[in-house]
Amino acid sequence: MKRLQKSGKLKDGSEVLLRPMVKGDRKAVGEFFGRLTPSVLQYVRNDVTDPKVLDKWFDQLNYDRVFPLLAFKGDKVVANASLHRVAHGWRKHLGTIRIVVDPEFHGKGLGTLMINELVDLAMEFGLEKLMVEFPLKAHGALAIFKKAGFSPRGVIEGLMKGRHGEDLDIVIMVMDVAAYADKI
Amino acid sequence: MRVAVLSDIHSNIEAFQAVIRDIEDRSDRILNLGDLVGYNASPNECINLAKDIGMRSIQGNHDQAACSPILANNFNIYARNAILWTRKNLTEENIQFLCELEGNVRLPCGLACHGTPAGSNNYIALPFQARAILKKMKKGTWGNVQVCLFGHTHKRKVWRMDVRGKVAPVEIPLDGTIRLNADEFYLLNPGSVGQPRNGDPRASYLIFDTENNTVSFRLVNYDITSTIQKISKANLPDFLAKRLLDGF
Repeated sequence: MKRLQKSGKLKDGSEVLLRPMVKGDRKAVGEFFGRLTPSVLQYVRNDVTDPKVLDKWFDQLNYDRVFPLLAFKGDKVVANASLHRVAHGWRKHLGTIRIVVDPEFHGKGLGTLMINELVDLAMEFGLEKLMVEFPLKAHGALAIFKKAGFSPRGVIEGLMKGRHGEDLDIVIMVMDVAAYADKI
Repeated sequence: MRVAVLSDIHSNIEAFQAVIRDIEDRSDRILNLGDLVGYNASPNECINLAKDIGMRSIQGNHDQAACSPILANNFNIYARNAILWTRKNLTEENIQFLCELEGNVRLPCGLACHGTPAGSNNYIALPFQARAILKKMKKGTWGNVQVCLFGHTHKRKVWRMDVRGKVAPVEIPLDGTIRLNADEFYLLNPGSVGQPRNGDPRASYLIFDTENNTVSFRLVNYDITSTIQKISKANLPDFLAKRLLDGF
């Protein structure tokens, strides 16, 4: 893709490259998910250990529907985030975010970097609100999304199941994109 | 005096030319609220036309970034890509022109800024943002100002603070003309010439008649196909072309 990329600085001063996922990233993305432990993978919505799932992602790349953003350290993918949109109807103004960060990069500001970029893109795409949902016990995620301007709007108790069958409470966080813009 | 107020031309020469043709004898002066460049593919043509017609221009955040590319790191991936292309393709003379543009401008008809009077990167999009600026206007933070002209959101909009201090958006009527009350405070956004985001792809601007205290919003058709072809030829992202058709 024609220079559609930017670099970002982590807390330790090192740099990562952010850019949209393209077809040629299939191998690097597969390796990224392959490095993740089951405890991380349980929260990923799709079974990314199945090569067919990833093949489908790459076959159906459509930035108008899902904008997938990758973070690279050298040739290695170290985070995968996506902004999901619906073209018509009552959710047209609303985007949802999903994000997975390599545990080796937790606490380095990479999640914040990725979320901030997706929020900026949400503005560019004309979205008014952003939503994210994840297990309430993921305190790190709660802190990162709060910092990015999201606020918790609801908790649904026992809605999801963990990999060992235990009930999980889910928190739903929302942000007003235009309000965020005032802070930048 | 009648002032034609334009904003966010963003290197769209076809839209800019169409608006200038539409203005004809409708105004005595032309004011641009910033962002002559960025996103689209005709930055030099837009700056040259601005110079030719003697249009007074404020510096927008994209103009700033074209002048100091390091600021592009604060832009999202698409905006950054387009502004770096712009910088590469601008003549030295036109880079200098952008660097020398003014910040906020105090005019007889009011205060003119790009984002807000506090900064070109800030937005007036939500009621709390409009309320904050209107309160400061009422307090006299920027002198005796009842009207603030702003851009940056690419959406035509009128915010009003009435005599009780209540802030609300004003619906723009079908004929596009609004009469301003002398004892109220207003924020006026003409929308965008080169990349409208109101859901209407037509180029948007307004005429402010300071004698009759009226504001007339105007929407102008232009040759979007040519603009899109130029974006494509310049190898700028397809998304920047497609959005012009939908006006978002």
